[in-house]
Amino acid sequence: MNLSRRDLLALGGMTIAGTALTPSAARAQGAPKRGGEFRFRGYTPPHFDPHLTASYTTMINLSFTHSRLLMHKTGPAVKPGTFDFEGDLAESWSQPDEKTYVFKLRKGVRWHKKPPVNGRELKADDVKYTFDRFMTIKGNANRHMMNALDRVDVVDPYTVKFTLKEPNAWFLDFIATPMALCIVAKEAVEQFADLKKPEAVIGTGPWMLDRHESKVRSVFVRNPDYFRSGLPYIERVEAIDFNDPAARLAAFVTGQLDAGPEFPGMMIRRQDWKIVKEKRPNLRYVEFPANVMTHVGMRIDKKPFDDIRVRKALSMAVDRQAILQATAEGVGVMNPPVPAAIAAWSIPHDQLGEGRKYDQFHPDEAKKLLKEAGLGGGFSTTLEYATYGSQELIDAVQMCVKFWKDVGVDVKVIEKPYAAYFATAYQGKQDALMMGPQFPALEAYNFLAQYLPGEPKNQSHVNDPALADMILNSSRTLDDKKRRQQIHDIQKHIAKQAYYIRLASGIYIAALDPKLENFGPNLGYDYGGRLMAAWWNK
Amino acid sequence: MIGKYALKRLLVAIPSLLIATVIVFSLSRLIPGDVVVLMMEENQYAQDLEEMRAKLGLDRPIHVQYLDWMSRLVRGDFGQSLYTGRPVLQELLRRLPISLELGAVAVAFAILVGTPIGVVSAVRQDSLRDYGARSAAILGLSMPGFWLGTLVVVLPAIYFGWSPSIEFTGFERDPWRHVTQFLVPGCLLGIASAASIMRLTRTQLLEVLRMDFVRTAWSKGLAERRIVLKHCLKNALIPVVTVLGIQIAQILSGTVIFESIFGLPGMGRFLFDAITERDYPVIQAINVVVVTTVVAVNLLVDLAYAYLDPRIRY
Repeated sequence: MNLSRRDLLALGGMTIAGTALTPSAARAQGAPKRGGEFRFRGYTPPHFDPHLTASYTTMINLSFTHSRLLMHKTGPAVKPGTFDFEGDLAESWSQPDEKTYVFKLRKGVRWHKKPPVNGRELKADDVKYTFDRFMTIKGNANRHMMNALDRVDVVDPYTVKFTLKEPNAWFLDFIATPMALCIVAKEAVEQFADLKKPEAVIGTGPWMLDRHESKVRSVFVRNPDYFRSGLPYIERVEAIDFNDPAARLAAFVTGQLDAGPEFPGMMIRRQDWKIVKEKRPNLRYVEFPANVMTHVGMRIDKKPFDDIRVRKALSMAVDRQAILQATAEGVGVMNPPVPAAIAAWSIPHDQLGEGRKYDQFHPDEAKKLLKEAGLGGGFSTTLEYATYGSQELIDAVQMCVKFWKDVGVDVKVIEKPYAAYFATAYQGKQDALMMGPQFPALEAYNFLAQYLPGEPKNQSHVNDPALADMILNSSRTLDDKKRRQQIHDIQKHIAKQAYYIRLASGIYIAALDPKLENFGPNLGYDYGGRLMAAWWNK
Repeated sequence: MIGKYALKRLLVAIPSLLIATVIVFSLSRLIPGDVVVLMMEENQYAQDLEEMRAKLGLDRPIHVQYLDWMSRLVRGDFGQSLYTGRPVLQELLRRLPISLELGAVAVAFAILVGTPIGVVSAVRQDSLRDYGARSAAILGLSMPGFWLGTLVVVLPAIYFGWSPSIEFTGFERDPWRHVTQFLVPGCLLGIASAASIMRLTRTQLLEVLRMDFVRTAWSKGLAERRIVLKHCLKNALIPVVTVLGIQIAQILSGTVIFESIFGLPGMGRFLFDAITERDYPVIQAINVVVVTTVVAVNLLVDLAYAYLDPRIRY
């Protein structure tokens, strides 16, 4: 399917989520070959302990070295934005009742041959140890993912049973996520006190961490004892930490990197696309919608945002198409409450019902609503944000301010350093408005949690008991079809209430060296998982 | 004589360093709000606030904290990075040589390019070469380093499919590549300093060239090369050396940009990252190292006067 950017615009970006737009992903051609080196833009993490940080920089590194019970399917046949499960350490799994999951582990899985674990076999005790640590360690920002977990029991050396407090339909999604739940070795924790040091990076994954030079590179070498026979094919992976976007672009254009250098998922920036295509015309690339959704959160527990008319007015004052044009050359998708990129759960935007019109640009209607709310003369407020080092985000903020000004709302922008923003506005601790990209989850729950009272990500301070019931009820619904319908209904309800002002998401361009075979880009941090079965056809 | 002067200058440098350490130490404590709460919320460097305060030594009176910090500092204990958990000194020792190498290339470029061009420009005053050199100097002073660095990395990549090495190579891995990777960023870093040195050399030399002893030399029939290089240049260089001392301080601060663009894991980038990560022990340690280096360089500059002008007495 070939679609031009204009075609995308004509579609309104509403029906293309998860569609690979260019059929040039790395298909598997010929027999796999072992060897070679894969060089990509890597990240220096704060440390390597997956239970003491939620940082993507840690998780991306560990995706090469560690395994999970389940993983998402990978490869060129996988449509970006889809996340079907397959066993990783688990050979099979079953659900005897609504609150119980039993995982049968593969036999003969060995830890990396590094002290103090020294290549011993992974058993059910290791899984139990990991989850117990995950649940009990102080400072685990991802603990909420396992809120439903009651206990983990070892049935036999290769069988582990998870008992939940209540049914949770997202449980397997969390188990499979490359963003938190890799299995760690007890001996490493005991030897090093935690898993922060590079020496403590001992997993059962396809590569082993050979060298880590902070802010320079991490080098991973093939794990010869990896449990998937013959894998990985690539011998050495070098993750080079580039700080400067111009340097990253130059490195990619001149072939010093084998994959697009931008986060997440080996992308290139749309504004660089023309240059890159000219200089490396044979690149394989895939375009798919981003699951990073930027929105404006409003303190609806405070005036004037407690008035639904004000929220609708602010939303309708924003010309999303103009922002998309200015920041992403007009290429993007409109987002329902669950981003369009998460195709399995996102409702098509044109089916949002009544709430859809609040995502559309109607400045006159906005003025009328403000007048009805007694704010015909306008009002002043503040907006807190961090730049994330993104000119596109800065432009989007400035444009929103301009659009609001046009309907009489004077917004003072407060720019915060990222860390300060993350500690305050990102967790709903702003005075009035906040704006920024949201956690790029791979399932729907994390996006819906933004509407649950008490959740740190509830930046708008939504307290809608009916909605909370709907969300929690959907989490207990194990039938996917029923749950999908429930989540579609939830999104319609949310859209009607205009709790957040959602902007459109861009379309990612994942770009790869043409000689890399059997690789399919996707959303999420599982760089290692996606590279595992790829090989060089050189 | 010079030994006595050096000793005197060293003694004067001690209070400067002490004042600098007080400023460096106080900076993090002057940040509005409770910096510990902020650090905890942002980075979760410890299990709780109390542990964080203890980790930073903030649970004691401020003078005790300072004295403790200083006593550890003089013993070479710079504390631990909150971000990596590694000793700061260990990181500094790994990164300082990289910044010094980069700075050395920049200084060498500034001297080797700025001085000869300044001489030619002065000797051939108001010639085409002079106008060209002065224009180039203005250009060199006007171009921001981050812009120039970006252009040098991106433009050749776009037009020629080549870009300078932007991946750091350690000396042990490939000595030749290690040394050559500093050439481009070092020269770029040295451009502004070269321009300053060129302009100052030209001005000073023009002044010296008009002095009586030079006229005498001309009338004696000495060769131009001998007059300019032997009799004039040394006299003209004293202010240039002073400026060079200041330039070295600027070059040290300029490494932040070039280390970021060219992927060099030096001290500048270490500082940049530490500020981003609010890693205060690292910020304090780097500032102490920078201040000490600047003081040491200025001491050397003072001592260099004696070599350049034996008439200077202390």
